[in-house]
Amino acid sequence: MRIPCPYCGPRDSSEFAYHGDAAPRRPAVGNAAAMADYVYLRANPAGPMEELWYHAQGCRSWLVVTRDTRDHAISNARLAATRSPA
Amino acid sequence: MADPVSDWTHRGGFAGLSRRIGSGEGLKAVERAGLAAATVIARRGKAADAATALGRMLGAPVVDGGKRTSGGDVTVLGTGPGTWLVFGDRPALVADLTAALDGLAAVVDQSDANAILDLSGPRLVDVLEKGLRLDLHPAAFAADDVAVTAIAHVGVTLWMSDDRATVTLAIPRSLAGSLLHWLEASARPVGLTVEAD
Ligand SMILES: [Zn+2]
Repeated sequence: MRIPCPYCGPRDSSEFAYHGDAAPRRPAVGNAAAMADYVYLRANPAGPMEELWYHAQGCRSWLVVTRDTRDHAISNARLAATRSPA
Repeated sequence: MADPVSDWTHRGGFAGLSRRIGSGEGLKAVERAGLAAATVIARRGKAADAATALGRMLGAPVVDGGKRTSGGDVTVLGTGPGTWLVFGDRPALVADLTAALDGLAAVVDQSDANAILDLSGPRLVDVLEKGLRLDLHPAAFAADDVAVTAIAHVGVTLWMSDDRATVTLAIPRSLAGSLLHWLEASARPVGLTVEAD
């Protein structure tokens, strides 16, 4: 699998570290139920999914990669730093 | 009185590792020792301003991207968003960068952190493709492109000369022996010459 890094171009997935689902955003302190969902609850979709990948052996950027979990087709990759704050 | 620190002489990461394997003809590796180096990391929201300041220092425009820009004795390599690795053949490189980028970026001296190898020869690409997961064809890799990647688990910053005849690798200097081990094994069929002080 090759991941199209917005800075480096297409690179072998072995250069990246996988973090997981990009959707959960850390909730405010004090809401135990929301924190439990943030830590444990995942949708696990069969289809396109936004994920966090770290380009550890390249530009050292966190990316948000849209990958289809059924066939690994990647439709988008952007720098996580361009996301709006939680 | 002699200064016990500044009188230390620079010793390249490949010092003492010169060798000739087989015909020695296919690939030539020459260490470039003694260059000053620094990383430049732009402060939040200052990447464009830092690139402009670097360009002013070089007398040639610098972009925030994986590109090489040379000006005088200084070479600026884009290694990540808002991040550059700078080499220069001058003792004052770090001081000059710090002055040029005041308030725009963090400048950290890396002069003793890297070992730099110039690779050339008739079998250059044939050897590199055994460890480099990059397409170096002109259609995919421009002469002024810079890549940060890995060869045999060794992190490398890679760029090439304007005529594409020389590919240069900068690696962590303590891994010079590891990279050389890969280079020897990969270049053995075509012959390898390593020149270092
Ligand atoms: Zn990258």
